[in-house]
Amino acid sequence: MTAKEIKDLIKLIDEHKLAEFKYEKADVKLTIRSSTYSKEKTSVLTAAPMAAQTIMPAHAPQAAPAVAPPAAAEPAAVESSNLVEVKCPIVGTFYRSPGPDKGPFVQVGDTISEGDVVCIVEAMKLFNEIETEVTGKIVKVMVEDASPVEYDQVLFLVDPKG
Amino acid sequence: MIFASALFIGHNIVRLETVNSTNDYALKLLTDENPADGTVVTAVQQTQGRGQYGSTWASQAAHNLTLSIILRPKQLPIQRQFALSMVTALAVRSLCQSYHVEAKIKWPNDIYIKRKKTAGILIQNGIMKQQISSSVIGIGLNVNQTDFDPSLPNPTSLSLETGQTYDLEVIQKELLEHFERFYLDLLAASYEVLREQYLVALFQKDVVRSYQRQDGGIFNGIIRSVTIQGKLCMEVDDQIEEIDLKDIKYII
Repeated sequence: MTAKEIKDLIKLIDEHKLAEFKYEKADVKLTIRSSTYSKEKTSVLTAAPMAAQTIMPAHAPQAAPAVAPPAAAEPAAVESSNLVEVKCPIVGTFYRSPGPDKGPFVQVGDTISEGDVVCIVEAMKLFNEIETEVTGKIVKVMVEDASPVEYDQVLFLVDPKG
Repeated sequence: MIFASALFIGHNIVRLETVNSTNDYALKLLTDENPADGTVVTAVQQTQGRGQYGSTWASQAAHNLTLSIILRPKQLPIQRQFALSMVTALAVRSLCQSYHVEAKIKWPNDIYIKRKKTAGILIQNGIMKQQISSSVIGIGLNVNQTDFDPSLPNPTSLSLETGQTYDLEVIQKELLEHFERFYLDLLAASYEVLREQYLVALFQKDVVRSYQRQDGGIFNGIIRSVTIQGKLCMEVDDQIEEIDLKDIKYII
């Protein structure tokens, strides 16, 4: 796990106001607790894959001193120029519209909010409508309509302040 | 063979007289209401049935099955989503087999009797936070239709193959039972079990046939397998090639 991933995690934990987060995989064991952590709270979330969106910090993050308890989940100040990437969750073919004769789901300048469909990725004739997790304004469409896309490829850039 | 009635697939059925497309209706249900898992949308007449991206599915009113199943397979990893195709194709094939009609799965998910198409499948997933939050499984199965538009390339129906007429209600109930049986394998993450059955049912498997490449060139190949992600493994000149959907066309 890289310092950047840990930093992103802390931000996510803060956004979702989690008191405690535990992660275990192979030889990695990570516990993050926020100032709201107390021993009585025991609600457990099952492990989920890393979030599809990652934040691009304007400056490279350095060491993450946040592993020890009671490190507060205080998000590192995020600079104003930060854009959020909407990434592709599966290998397939990218379509911007619901059908060949239809208009695109979203265009540059459109404001999107969580749950909006932004595109279709077709994989072996399964048509996946990709719903965004972010709210903001579309700044750039990174892929041409009807072209192949890879897992984790950036599809859209979104300005969360837009 | 007699199967127990489906436990949750089709427990809740929305029966429509006429609809543009049962898939579109099911997608709207998912947005507007909170339909139970396994809810099925059926229509006597589908006026703008949808096929794959941009294509259509024509079906004579009251002669055939046109239905959509709403599921929320959240535990299915997104990279394993081809399992939904396998489940659906296997269900349709099993139904045909139960009426002593030999049906094959033409990769990835058409159902063929002899060399003619009798069913099409359209699956539309909603993806949220790297999970399959919803899946709408559209199935169009030609049952009692015996007249087809001459513009269609190679259609057939159960009735054309057997000379019998079928009770659509019974066929539908049985199809949902078959579907549930395979869907339980998916829920149990038994993807290999599904794949093995899918391979047994694969159209043109292990025989030399001509196919067309994207550039138009015709070549001889032998379908050997399908990967868990749904890619076709074809033997060409003693080499196994992994083939993507757009790489080849069947010559039917």
